[in-house]
Amino acid sequence: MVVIPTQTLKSPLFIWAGLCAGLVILPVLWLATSWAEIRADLWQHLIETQILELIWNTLRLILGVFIGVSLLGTSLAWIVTKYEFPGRSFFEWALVLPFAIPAYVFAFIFIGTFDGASTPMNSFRQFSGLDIWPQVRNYWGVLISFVCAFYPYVYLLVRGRLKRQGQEIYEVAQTLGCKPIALFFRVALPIAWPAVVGGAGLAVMETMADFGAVSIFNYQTFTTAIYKSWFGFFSLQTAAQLASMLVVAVIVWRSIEAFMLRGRDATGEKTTRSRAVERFNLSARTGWLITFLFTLLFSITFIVPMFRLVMWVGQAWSPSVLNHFYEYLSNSLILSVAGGILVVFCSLFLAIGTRQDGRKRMKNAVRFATLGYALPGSILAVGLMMVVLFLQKKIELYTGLSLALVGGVGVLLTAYVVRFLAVGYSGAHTAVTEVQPHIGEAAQVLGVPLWRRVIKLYCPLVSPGLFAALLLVIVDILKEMPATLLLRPFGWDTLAVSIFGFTAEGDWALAALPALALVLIGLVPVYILIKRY
Amino acid sequence: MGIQVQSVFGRKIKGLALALMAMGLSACGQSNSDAKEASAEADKGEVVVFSARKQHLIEPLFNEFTKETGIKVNFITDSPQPLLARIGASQDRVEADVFMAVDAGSLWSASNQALLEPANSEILNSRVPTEFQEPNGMWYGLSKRARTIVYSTERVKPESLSSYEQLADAEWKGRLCLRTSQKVYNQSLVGMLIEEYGEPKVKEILEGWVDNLAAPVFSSDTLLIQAIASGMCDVGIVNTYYLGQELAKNADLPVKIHWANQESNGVHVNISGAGIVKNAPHRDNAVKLLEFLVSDTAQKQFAGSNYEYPVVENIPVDPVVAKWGEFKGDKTPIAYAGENQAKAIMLMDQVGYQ
Repeated sequence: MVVIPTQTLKSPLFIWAGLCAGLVILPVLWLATSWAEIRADLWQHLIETQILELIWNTLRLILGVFIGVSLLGTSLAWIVTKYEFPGRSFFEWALVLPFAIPAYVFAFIFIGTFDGASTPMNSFRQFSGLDIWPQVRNYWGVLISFVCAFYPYVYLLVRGRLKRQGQEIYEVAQTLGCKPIALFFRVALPIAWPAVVGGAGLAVMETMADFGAVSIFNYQTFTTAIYKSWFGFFSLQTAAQLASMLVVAVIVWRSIEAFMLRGRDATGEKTTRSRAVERFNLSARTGWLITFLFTLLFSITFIVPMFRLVMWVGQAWSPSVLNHFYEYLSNSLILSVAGGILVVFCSLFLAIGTRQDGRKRMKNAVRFATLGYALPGSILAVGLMMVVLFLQKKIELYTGLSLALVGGVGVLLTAYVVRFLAVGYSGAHTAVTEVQPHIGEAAQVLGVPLWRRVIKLYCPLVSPGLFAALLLVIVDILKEMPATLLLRPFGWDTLAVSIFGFTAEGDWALAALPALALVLIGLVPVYILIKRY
Repeated sequence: MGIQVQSVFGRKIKGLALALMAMGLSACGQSNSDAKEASAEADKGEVVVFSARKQHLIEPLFNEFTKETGIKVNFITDSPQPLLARIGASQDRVEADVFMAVDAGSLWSASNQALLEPANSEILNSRVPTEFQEPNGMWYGLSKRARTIVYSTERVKPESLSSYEQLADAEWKGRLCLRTSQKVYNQSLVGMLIEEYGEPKVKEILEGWVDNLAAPVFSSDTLLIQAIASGMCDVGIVNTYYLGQELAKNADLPVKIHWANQESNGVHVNISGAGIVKNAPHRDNAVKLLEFLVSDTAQKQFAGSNYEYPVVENIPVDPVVAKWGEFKGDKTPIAYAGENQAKAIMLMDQVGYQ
């Protein structure tokens, strides 16, 4: 066996991966520089009056979301893959549909439908004569919205993992006397565990970064303090300092994740083809009970929200609501597809890098590269803007060129890369791990250059997995709001931007049309995703 | 429509392809001569507006301005502070000419961060009342937004209402609804109250308000009005144009306006307004735009399209608004709203007003 010196093999990959990771590190570095000066009065005020409460609010929300999406996503995925019941094949893809609804849209639908003063509740009181005043603008309201919006992450990942695992392992377990319930806990759950943690991890990071949805509920989390410092006290610096603590929180979360996955090789997935999973038959009664519960869930997470949006659209309809509508639509499409391709491209390099280069620095590069997901969008956008302007000045100084980067599409797309690399990476990583590393090494030994290896070798092998990642990222970019708001060039308003314009003042009926369009577009990739994978 | 969509689409795709190419090749710049050419063309007629005021409220007027002067208006909308961050970060090559906000606090913070420069316009100085302009001409009000008391016509006698501070009295226990303290309109209101009464008294008022709350605070004035209409609470404090919007949808809404503090300083009046960005590349056009916005016709539309009050005097208001009658507005310079904003937030935090 020929031993190849590691160094020569892996350097260019590291450089590429480093470049991608660098994109994320730069805004984080900007956050770190904010500590140069401290507004003691603001910190004292924040500490004395609220920081503990905000941390507590955030922690219990994260915990609730983690438990909620894990339980819901995993159990749904298990039932759908392993049991036969009426409507199963419908629910299999229908359960992913809420993924197309942004959390901030869930938030205003939820309040606009179930809070005591909402139109439907008014009608309900009139019809029933009951004096009922539900109060959903609280912890439970936020939690339910987030679980509805984020459980599809877990459902998708776990379902994919269970399906790919194949039938044999269950048969072995059954011959050893495992009952269905035990099959779940002793076979399926251990197999699916990395997917559960991975999906719930995405949900947790979204929760940490969210400001749009929680502010509609007026539920105060850590991001509340960030925006209060910036918008209220006019101190972007204090906001950046607080945001950098969020980065620390993410790093802590990553260690918790690592702890939950200890002793498990997340890449140890079975890769050879095997027979499709066979499903248990249920008694008619249990089957229909499950169908009923699934229908209920699907109604709450999708039918009712869509119905409410349509009602609002009808209520606020006038020809003028279509002003710019098609322009926003095409902008949303273009940006999400272009951004998605870019994200997946970077993710692929990172994933190949980690696959071929097992060294620590590569792992660290990846760890940094996926931090952006948990940063509030506008903080990340400002950080990126600062960094780009700084670099632009330097480049202009040395080259004499005149650049105008901020206000261009390039910076906005870069922001998407920073924000969603984590999503792209998790998909690309799974896809790449299914390719045996020695194939790549063999090509390398034969002197095939990196770019050809990527295009000729990896792309065909991983393209189905990458395509799935692309679809996920496209939906995420469609829903992205704060970074788009700050960094978009003139004339690049999107559906999400127009939703912001209306929801900021509680004008939900007018926000409903762009929201509905956003969801409907998002359904396309979601549908392809679930039908193909 | 299809063709139009396609052409927009095609243009965008082209622009995007260029941007991607530029990124990929990391040769993202234009050469100097290109840049000059572009700016020479722009000098003929362009003005760039960074606006916290919503698109559908400003775009019709911008179109009007373009029709009248031939000057093209480019604008983006966002929250004020991100826009100011973008202006502040690129100070050696400013993109924006005009910064437009919907509250005095943001305008104050813009000039406080030295991001604005005086407009030096006689027209603006004379047409905008002094309490609604920055003393050095850094920014000017363009419309007035009264923030006052609204009440349920079914459960509240108008005689029982008088002032903001009176809503802290025990008779309103369990009957008051408020919007979140994170909204700048409340921060401005409390900031102006601090200017009038001093912090200790305002703290007492705020404590009373929080004690009286009927429901957790709302994230928007619109929700608050709906809560009063549906019977969740009886009184609240809102910007009047939100009621105008709700009345436009349902003229029978059982919610009415009470002009607060008429026996004392008058109703708190905030502004939406604008200022010229420091080192604005199209300064002359920017001044022209602001002067256009305080003209009689523009004023009528600027305020009227959103049930606000024109900042220039003697301009007729929307019929819905006219029904609410005349009121005495607070004459204290609105800049104090910005100056006292931090104090206001701290007080609200201390009393647990979320």
